[in-house]
Amino acid sequence: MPIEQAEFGRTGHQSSRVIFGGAGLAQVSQRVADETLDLLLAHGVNHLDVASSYGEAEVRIRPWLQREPGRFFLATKGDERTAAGAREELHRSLDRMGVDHVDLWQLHSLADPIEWDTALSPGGALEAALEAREQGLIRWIGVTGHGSQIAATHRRSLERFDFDSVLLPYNFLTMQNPYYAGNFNALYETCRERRVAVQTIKSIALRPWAGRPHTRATWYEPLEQADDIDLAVWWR
Amino acid sequence: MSRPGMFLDSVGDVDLLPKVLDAASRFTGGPDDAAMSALAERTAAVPLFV
Repeated sequence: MPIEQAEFGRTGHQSSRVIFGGAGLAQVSQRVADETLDLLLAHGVNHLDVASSYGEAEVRIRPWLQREPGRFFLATKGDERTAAGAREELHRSLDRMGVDHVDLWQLHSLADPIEWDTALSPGGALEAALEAREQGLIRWIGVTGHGSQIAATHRRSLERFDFDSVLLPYNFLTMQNPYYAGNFNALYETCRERRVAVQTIKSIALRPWAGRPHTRATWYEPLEQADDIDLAVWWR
Repeated sequence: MSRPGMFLDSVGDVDLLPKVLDAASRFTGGPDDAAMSALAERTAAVPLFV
């Protein structure tokens, strides 16, 4: 059964409700990556989200994009905060993926207040993104982040610039924090009004590793049992 | 997935990916908060942010 689709914000693209988060490809072989592609195709996943900082992920999906041209909405992210650095980083991403443009380019992990101001001010990464959009190297511009302040920060980001997408953590326990939930819900309403796509991460995160052995390639210890993962994925 | 218009980035471990995709492909509706509270208690979940 294919995963259901929805319009990805204002882009007009019908994306699968589950987007492939490419961090999992950071340190895997091409063989493992290609097996993952088959799994994604079997479930109707049509949206890839990698980042320049995800190890070899951009390189691993290059053969996918050649094998399945036009199948995927392609998103990547950059960590540079200055325009000059961001331009160079974007071109490196395009080279690594073997494409002449991406659908969505995101300012990655934009949470630190100093970096935020640098990136969104003249001479910052956003300037490079706007140039790249004019040049046809990217079609849409997004912003991502993590941490307890990020929903509030994304709200500020949307006041500063009309981003096309946001990405941030969302799960049951995180939403029990009134400060986070209040900002998340306000952000969600703004995004609905302005047709900004909302992407969520950490849906099956269970707890910090806290010194326990890292048995998974995830930033947090995840849920493992299928029944538990069902609940976490289905939750509102 | 019960919240309209939101997208879920899949897990950062390819070995867990099949379970996430399988869950998403069977989605018909979400659990209530009581079920999620029980899940958090049963699995000893801890907030990610302090």
